[in-house]
Amino acid sequence: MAQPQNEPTDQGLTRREMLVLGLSAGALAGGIALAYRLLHKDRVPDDALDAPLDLEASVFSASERTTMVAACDAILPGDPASKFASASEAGVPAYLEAFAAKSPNLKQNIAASLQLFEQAAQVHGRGATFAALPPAERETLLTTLSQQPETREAIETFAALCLKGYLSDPKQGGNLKQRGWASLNYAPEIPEERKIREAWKAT
Amino acid sequence: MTTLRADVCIVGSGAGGAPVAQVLTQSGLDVLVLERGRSVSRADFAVADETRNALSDGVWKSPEASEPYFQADTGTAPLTPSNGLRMPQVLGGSTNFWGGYASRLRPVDFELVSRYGAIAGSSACDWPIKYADLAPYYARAERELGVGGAPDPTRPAEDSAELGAGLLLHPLANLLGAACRKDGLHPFQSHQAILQNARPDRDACRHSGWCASYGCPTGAKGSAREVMLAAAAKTGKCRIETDLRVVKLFCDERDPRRIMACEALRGTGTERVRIEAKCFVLACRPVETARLLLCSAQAGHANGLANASDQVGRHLMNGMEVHGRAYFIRKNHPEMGAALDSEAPFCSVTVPDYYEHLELKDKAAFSKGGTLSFYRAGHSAFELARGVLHERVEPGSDLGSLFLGTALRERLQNYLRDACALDFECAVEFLPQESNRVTLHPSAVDDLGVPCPVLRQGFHPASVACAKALGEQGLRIFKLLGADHVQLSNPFANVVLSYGTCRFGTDPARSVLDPNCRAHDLLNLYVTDGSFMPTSGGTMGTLTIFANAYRVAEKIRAAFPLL
Repeated sequence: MAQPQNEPTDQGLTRREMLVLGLSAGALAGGIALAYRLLHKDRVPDDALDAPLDLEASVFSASERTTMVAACDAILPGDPASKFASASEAGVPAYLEAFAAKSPNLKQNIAASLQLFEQAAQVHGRGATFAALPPAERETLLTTLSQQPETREAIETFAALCLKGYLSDPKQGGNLKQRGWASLNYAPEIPEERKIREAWKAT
Repeated sequence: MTTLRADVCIVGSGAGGAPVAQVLTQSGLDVLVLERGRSVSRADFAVADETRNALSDGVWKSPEASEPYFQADTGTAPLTPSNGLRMPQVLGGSTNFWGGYASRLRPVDFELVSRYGAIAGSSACDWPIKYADLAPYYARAERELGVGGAPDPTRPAEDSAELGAGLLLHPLANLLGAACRKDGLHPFQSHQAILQNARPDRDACRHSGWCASYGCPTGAKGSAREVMLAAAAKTGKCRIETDLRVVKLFCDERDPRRIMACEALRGTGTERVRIEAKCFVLACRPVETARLLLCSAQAGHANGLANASDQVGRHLMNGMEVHGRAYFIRKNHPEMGAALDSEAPFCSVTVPDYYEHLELKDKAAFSKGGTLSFYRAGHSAFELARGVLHERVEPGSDLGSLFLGTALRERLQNYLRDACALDFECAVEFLPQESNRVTLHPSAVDDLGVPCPVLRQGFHPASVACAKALGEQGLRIFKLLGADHVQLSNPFANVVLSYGTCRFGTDPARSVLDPNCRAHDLLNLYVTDGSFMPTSGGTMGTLTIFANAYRVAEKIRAAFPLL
């Protein structure tokens, strides 16, 4: 039996909303695919990506910045009880902006992702901005987008970039005051071999 | 145009080229090594910084940025990095960044068709040499590189004679070994070209965790640059030219069976250099070696050099792999004691029992297995975190659900903060197919004006089935150990490893090179990268390329007076 278009799906969006999102996503798919490839130049950087990050860079508008902060925190929300810093507490939005400042293509493609989040929010929230949605709904919205083939790459790219900004060496930007590392009890330096040897003997 | 002259010109400075330079310079020949990438040294490799070294600094050049590779199936779309060739272009090649895993092939790999019969849909064939022919050169490569580890109990003792001390391992290795032995398996410490103890010219490993995919700042990791090129340099007979890319080989007009010179471009192509030598050795990696030969078409060689048989570029292979990862949540395993708290970076254990045979549902199918190797993932927090973003640990067609928000946070806490991770990698035969090949794009050229390669890389279904079956064995062992959560990738091509495109053989109609890796069609052209391999074998082929290069170098030395 056909599902009514305004019946919420398992993901909390109506089928009509899903349809509109799909069309929006299709229009952005080309740019998103490029963004995906650019992100994966973590391993295969071009000249632009080799340049050091400028953490003072300002390439996004105030509204784009608001969307970015909300999206980053939707992907990596903080939890004071378990001492887990949120993405914004760990400086991820500034990292993303500095990353976007490396080349017009990067900026364009991160901006395209932000635009996608806003379009999705307006469809889902009846005109609300992404940042105005309750945190749980932002998370649901991004999860829903990640389950659609047209927008999967965009969300995965954005999420991986957030992780990069959360856990990179602070020398490369992001991971403000090593808060990302602290959240995971991560130390970049492995103890010297002597300690490894002692641990080995102990077991 | 500048002209350089040498007895022997070697194109490529990695595992295929550097041993040849070492042997020939130590024999007194004047050798010129050409490397298209830049020079690097230990000082270039910092630790504890995942965005340096291999991951940045232009070491891994983007094929899209300046040198697109095309897929045969589309004909026009550039390969994406996920299935493109992430080739490091620096002095010493990709051996600067390997994990040092140095496994020998087994006798069965040299006689695949004789042992398993013809494989429908595959162009697999026996090698023209036997394991015994290569064994002395494996020993030399192990000795030079400083390979350490434990003897493989399923192989003859002489195969382990050159092994040095193994690296200090993570305590989980003990538990893993015990679990495997209890199951009737024969685990042993994997062989790695990383020094546990210093040598006069190389420091010992610091166990920093920044190893595979990263350059080594101490010289503990054996590489073509650290070992062979350093030895060649000591002779005073080796000249190395970096940032110089060979674009065409030229035959002698009076004798089209002899290469007389090659032309190279420096940097962005502003300077042309001509190199004249009595002997030329190509070691540019299989795709680039085939590309150079095809780009060198000329009078008397209309289809490219060494290509009278139309075999150049065919039978392209990669590594055929499956990855798995297990998480052991510390609070769930009091029986493991402090083992899960250790941060030791190596947990290198190989299970050899599935190498020659795997139990498959289809009893009639090709059932050769391969190598099941356990290890600790690298120390990059970002790379580890990306592994929990979804259920698959490596790219594949089905990545499963993406975890975001609170689910992602919980996975990061459970699997990175509160758990110890252990990985495995399965390497099986990437069965060759004649249609898997390198050709030249009819119109597209790279930024130096060289025709772009077009690749066709298809999987043989038997390779996929074997990779899956071996992956299942890895998961079974994880469960024997009591893993709390496991992940398994789809079978995928590890394109950092590549073989074929100029296979060696006795029949000039079916092979490009003779058993000594000299071109059938040319008197003074040798190929020593992974191109020569008719089949991939059931393990990573880097040590085999090193060993074969030593073997061929001796053939060149013997033949040189006649060249």
